[in-house]
Amino acid sequence: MEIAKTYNPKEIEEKWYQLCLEKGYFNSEPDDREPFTIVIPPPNVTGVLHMGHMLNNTLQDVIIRRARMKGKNACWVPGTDHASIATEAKVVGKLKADGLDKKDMSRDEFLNHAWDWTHKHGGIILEQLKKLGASCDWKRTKFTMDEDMSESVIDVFIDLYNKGYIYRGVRMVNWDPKALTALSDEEVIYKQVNSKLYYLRYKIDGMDDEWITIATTRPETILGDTAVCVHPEDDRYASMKGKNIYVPLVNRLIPIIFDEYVDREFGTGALKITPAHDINDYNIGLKHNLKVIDIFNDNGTLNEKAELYIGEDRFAVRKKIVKELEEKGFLVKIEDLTNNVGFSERTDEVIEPKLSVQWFCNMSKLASPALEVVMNDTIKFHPAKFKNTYKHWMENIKDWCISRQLWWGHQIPAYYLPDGSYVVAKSKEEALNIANNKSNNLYTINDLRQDEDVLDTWFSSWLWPISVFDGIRNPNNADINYYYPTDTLVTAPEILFFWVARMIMAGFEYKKSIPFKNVYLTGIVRDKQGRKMSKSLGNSPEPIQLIE
Amino acid sequence: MLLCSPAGNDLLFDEGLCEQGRNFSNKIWNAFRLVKSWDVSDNIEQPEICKTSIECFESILNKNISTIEDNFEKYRISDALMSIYKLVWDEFCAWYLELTKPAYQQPIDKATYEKTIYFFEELLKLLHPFMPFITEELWGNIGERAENDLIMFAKAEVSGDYKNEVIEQYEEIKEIVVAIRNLRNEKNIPLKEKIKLFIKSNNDRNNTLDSMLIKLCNIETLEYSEQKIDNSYSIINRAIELFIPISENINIEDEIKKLKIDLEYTQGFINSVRKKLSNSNFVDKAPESVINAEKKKEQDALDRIEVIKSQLESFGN
Repeated sequence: MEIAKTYNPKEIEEKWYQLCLEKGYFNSEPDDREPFTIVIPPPNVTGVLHMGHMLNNTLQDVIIRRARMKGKNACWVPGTDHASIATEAKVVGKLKADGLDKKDMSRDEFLNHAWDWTHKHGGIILEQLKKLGASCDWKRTKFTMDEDMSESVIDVFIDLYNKGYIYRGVRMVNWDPKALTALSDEEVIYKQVNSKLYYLRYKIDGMDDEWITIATTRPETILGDTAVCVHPEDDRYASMKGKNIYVPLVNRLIPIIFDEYVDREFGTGALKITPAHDINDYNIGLKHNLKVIDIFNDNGTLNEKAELYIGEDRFAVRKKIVKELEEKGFLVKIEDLTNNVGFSERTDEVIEPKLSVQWFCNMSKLASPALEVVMNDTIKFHPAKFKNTYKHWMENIKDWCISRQLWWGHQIPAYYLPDGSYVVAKSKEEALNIANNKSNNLYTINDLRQDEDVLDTWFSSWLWPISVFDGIRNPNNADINYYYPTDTLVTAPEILFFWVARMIMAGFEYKKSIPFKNVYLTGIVRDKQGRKMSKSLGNSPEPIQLIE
Repeated sequence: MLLCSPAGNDLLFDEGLCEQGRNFSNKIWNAFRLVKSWDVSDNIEQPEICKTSIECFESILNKNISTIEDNFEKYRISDALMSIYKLVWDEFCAWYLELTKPAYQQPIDKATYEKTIYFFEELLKLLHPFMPFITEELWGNIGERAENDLIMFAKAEVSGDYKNEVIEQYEEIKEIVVAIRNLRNEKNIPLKEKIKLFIKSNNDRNNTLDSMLIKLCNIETLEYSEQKIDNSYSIINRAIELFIPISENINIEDEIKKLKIDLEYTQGFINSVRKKLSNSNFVDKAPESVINAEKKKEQDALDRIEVIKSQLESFGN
């Protein structure tokens, strides 16, 4: 056969790729050969390919093709992630463009829109991967909200709840008082603003005309103060041990506490502690067992716990309380200050840190085997330098907040009873049975109300290497026994903790073994000026166009 | 693009990288067309140079296969690709094919042809994970294939034995070729003009690969000499000294003129660089890397002046 004079990539690539698809050459079934498995890091279902995906998926393709040529039974499982917050934000934006507001919709209505969106845009990215020539076993394509995948997520939630790992607890969230919703850290934009620093004095109990002066940018929150904190080595306050002071205006007696957290150089070196309205204060409060007084309503007005200015807006109160403090002799001075303030990405409202009840997963037991296997190279990191970062994180692991105030995702399988207690169960019917068995009261199905929140996206993707082979629901099926543990994971270092670490933990919890043997961590694709390529910078070329 | 992206390191993206990939595809494609265009003859004996070239390339191939295997084991995927890239582009296309290709419109002997095809297949297999489609296409074209005989299922290459001393000897020959080519360039000796080559070697030199020099450098006669050869260009490479007699038909007057013009230009260049470097405004403000680059320019020019002067001396000037 005469070969063409010049290489025509488009024609030749299409010809061979189509042939491989038609003949099922990329498909894999368990057999006598040694398996070699890669699970794709599932891209967002409604996303499009960017340069990072190109690099990442090309590497996976190289590795899987090499394994195939080494005579192994190579299986590369593709799929997509529902990407709870990213997708929901896109749908909300699209509805807004159509003049619709999520607030005016029922959950079902909104979810219908979200599914429409998913069906319309979902899978584009997989088609783009096909253009790249990815030799995935396409008949194994999974989506984290497929029915079987969702069932696995719910099963795991119930199991971890029954084991006592999952619990409800209070945590500080970024609250948007205008949109009336909690925001993720990514949705908070910090801006430098010109503020004022107010120096206020608090009278010391049992002493004659002795005061402590503190500095704050938010004088209205003194109504929620439950301590004043100084540095233990600060000579100015060495004599204050065991003393109490009065919160101005409301005359509440609060303790002076000592903690190295305080920056002696800032303000007067004395810090008011308002555990309900500042994340750092909240942590100090936990450490020192302080009371928490939440003085705000959800819409940013003051509530009865504030005792004063009840029902008035936080910014109006700031002006008034400064005046009152001045009149009554508590205001020492005012300084100008520029500081960073968080604003809501959606409403541009100033974020109010707010305590709210969330679901958590206790990580300490899950973490220790997952740390060990990486440190002893049972799972190899390439390059190994990421072991240190991993170790640091795993040794300082905090409980995982797994609930999100969103609708798109796996709704938490907890059902509340009229008395405020709740039952965790696979379905409303099952929850009703449990509730009725536990109690003498006979509830009806309408008495049960399912938790409104959904689970963090990572709570489904941490099961990915197991759930794509149905290893949660059917722990001994032929696929999971053959393909698991997988061989290589190719992913970005940014999600080492969000995803990689959690998959290792889930692997130990549900398969008693590692989910993959090697983790290849890719770099970030940067442009010529060394900036990260991202859509928001607009410096990422369209990959498919480049290929062509 | 994978070339410059080792695990965990950031990648600087440049559209040039895509171009590099495209050029590489074209290189492979054209190499394939070249090999396929040869007439194969059963009736000619395999030339000595083809035998030695095959032996050398086979050693290099095997050595690379084991390096590449090691790179894959350690997930040094960009290193693996770099080895393959150099193996195909430099070792196979630039050296091996040049050494073995038959003279224009002449047939190639069967043994060499078959071995070349075998090498090509091995290279395609190495390349396949990185360039799945072009390799599949060429695999299908290189010989008769059954329907499901695809490269994606082909058994990966296994490293055979290789002799380091063969590779070492081959590398030396390649260095000499490069040096002679550079000399031709510098002295404006066209490639088609045959030259004489004398080799002065202090120890017993293994001359089995000398035929490569003759073919690649268009050498008329190659002789070993105990003495330096007068009135010659000389090159020192490793432990040997090479002499290429200055051709009679060279016009010494013209050469001297050219060298003098070059000398004048280079001196002017040095002056301008020195002026820059003595300008305190520039030295204070420019980043260190820029200043170092200027200093390097100065040194390079000084070296060049030395070379020109010694050449002028050799012409009795």
